[in-house]
Amino acid sequence: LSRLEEFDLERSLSALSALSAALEKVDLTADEVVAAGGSVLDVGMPFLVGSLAQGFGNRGSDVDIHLFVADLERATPPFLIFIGDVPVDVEHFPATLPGTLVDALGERTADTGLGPLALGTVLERHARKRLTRWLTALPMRGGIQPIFSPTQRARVYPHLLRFALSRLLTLAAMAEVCDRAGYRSDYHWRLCGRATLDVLCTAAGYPPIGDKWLPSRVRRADLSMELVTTAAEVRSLADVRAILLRYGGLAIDPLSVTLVQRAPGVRDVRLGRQTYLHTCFGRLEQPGDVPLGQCGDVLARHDARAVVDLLRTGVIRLMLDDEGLDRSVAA
Amino acid sequence: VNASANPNSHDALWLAARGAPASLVFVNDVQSAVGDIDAAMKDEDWPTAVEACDFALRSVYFCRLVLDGLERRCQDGELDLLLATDDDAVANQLRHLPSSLRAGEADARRGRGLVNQAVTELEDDLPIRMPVIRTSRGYFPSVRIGADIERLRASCGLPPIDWMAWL
Repeated sequence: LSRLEEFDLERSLSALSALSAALEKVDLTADEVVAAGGSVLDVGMPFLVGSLAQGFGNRGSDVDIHLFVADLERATPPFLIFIGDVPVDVEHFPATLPGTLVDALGERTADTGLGPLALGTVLERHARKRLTRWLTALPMRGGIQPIFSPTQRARVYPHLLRFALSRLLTLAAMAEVCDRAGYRSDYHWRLCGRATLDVLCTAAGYPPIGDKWLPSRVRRADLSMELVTTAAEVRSLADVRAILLRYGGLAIDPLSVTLVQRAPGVRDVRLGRQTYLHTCFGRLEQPGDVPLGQCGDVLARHDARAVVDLLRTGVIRLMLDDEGLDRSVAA
Repeated sequence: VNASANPNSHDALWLAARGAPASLVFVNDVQSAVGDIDAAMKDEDWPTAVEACDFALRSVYFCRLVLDGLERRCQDGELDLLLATDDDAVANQLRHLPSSLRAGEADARRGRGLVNQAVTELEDDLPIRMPVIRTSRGYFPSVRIGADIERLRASCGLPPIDWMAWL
């Protein structure tokens, strides 16, 4: 065997032992899963994905299996089967889809103290979930190569970091708006602390999965107690900025990299001489002046309480300004 | 005007338009979060149990929004904002859950108690009782109720539910 083949064999064996350990949590073996799946699992390259594949999960976890099938034009609707009480979700994807998804990712990155950070557009939630699952997938039998090559993996990570950072910055801006509007914001800042830990775990190579696994990710990423305490005690915009500067070398003001926009899906409705905005809450609102623009500017021009009211009624939303973040990172 | 003398009757249009998606959210989000709490507690994984309590209360709150007219899933930060600023009882309980990172058994049991109460009250307000969908026993009865809901919506002149949009 060549060294490369030896390495592949070793990796394949360690993946199979990780697979056994993962399925053991739900009292199953790979053979039992394959036998129960029948023809549904008898095509293409099968991978265990999700929390079990990432080494998390427990006896209540679902078994999520993705199969990559040549000549399949599009992903199939998911199948749900049960092995005893364990739900097994099975989805089939075109074998070329992972490569296509990675090719569509921007290549530009910036070096930060947290690792390379993707520039450009933040991932859609759906794409982020798929990339994370495929990045951490375990092959269900020997001789199957990982879904992503090392080069592709290196291209995905900076985008996961951007996703996590974007969440933190948006939450921090929103917490600040609520703070200025006079709301008790302890809970919002606590969410920022969690989002900070999410960024740090992602930077440490543990990409985001279901929120409930955050404590486990923190343990696995072996974050220092000082770091965890610092994040858990975030109580202000200054705290968030200080953490980003200290651990990421990033001088970012969340208020300058977030935008207030009209909420997606809001429709104009005219009833006689009256005009309304039909919001996602199924309500017709007559908001009058709707503030739009960079979050910091909006707060400088408008009463924070009015901004929060419009956010709460679904007339406007607060979101990351991709270009603003790129400018801040470059500076 | 009170066209119906029976206090137990339902507004058919409300049930089809609001109750149906709320029931779907209940089985997808609330039921699964409750299952997650129990699984973590069996493993004595108290931090994950408290996390699951957090998600269960968020899901109850979200389900109530759908019952009240919300037409789609919340996007990033939207639900956080509402939970942080609403006087609602469930939002208030959620805000006072302990941090999961150092949570112990007492925290998890207290959280489970809050979730029990919130879920029971929500079930009382939901017009449709759904079996636990992600079990071999509950799956097909739930699917059948889904088909019944679609027939009701059609008879009320409503389009089919975009089930995938609520997942």
